[in-house]
Amino acid sequence: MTMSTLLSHRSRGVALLVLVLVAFVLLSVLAAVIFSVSMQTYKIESWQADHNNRMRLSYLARSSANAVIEGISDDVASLGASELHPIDKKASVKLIDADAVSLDIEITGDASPYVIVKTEASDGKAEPVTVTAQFNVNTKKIVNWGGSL
Amino acid sequence: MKRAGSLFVEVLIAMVVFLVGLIAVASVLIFGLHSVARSCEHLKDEQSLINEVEEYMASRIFSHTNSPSGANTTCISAGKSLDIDGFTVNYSIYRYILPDKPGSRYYIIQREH
Repeated sequence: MTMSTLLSHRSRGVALLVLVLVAFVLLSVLAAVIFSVSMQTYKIESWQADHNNRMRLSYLARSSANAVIEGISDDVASLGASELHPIDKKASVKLIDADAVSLDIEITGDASPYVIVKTEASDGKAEPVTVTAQFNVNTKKIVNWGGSL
Repeated sequence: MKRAGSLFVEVLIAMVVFLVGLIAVASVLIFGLHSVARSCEHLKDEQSLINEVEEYMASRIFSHTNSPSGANTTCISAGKSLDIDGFTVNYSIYRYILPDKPGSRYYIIQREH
């Protein structure tokens, strides 16, 4: 049955029906593609937001470990450390109110010649970031960085 | 009863409906392309900010003397001290931030004498 036969008999309006169906299918496919792209973009944005949070915490942890080590470097004696009396000092501080960032700091070791400074930055959203820095009090150099940088 | 030209009108209506949908989809795609173009610039700015922070960190660890500087840097808290079981560290907090993207902000703690 040809199109002209179809149109000349009882099947009036079938062209419109076909057109509407084709349009519906095309728009549905386009909508599915756009939805899929949107979901992928959303996933990437979420990953990027998490990554930014972790970077923020990482810089805080690293810079605070370095700040503590600078203090130790200038005045090792104030730690009062020896092989018989190893250091074990801890502190927690809330740093930035706006981002609810808090920091846990731990100083361990016996200063003969190493002191280890461990800092953990957390904001309650991203996974906490822990950084350890091993400091040689004789050479006054950080010899090793570790943790979840 | 068959009216002359009724099929033509039906097709026209279908085409209008289809075109409206197509225009909506096209505008979404154009908006998406603009966003991608903008995000490229944002990414460059953000990487530049991260480079600033990394450069500061690297030089500070070696020299213990330099301070954060630049248009994107602000000291948000100064003259604070941290007591670690009797061991005191004085410090300031600096913030690196992109003015048009507040989500990209990083903080640095610097020891002060």
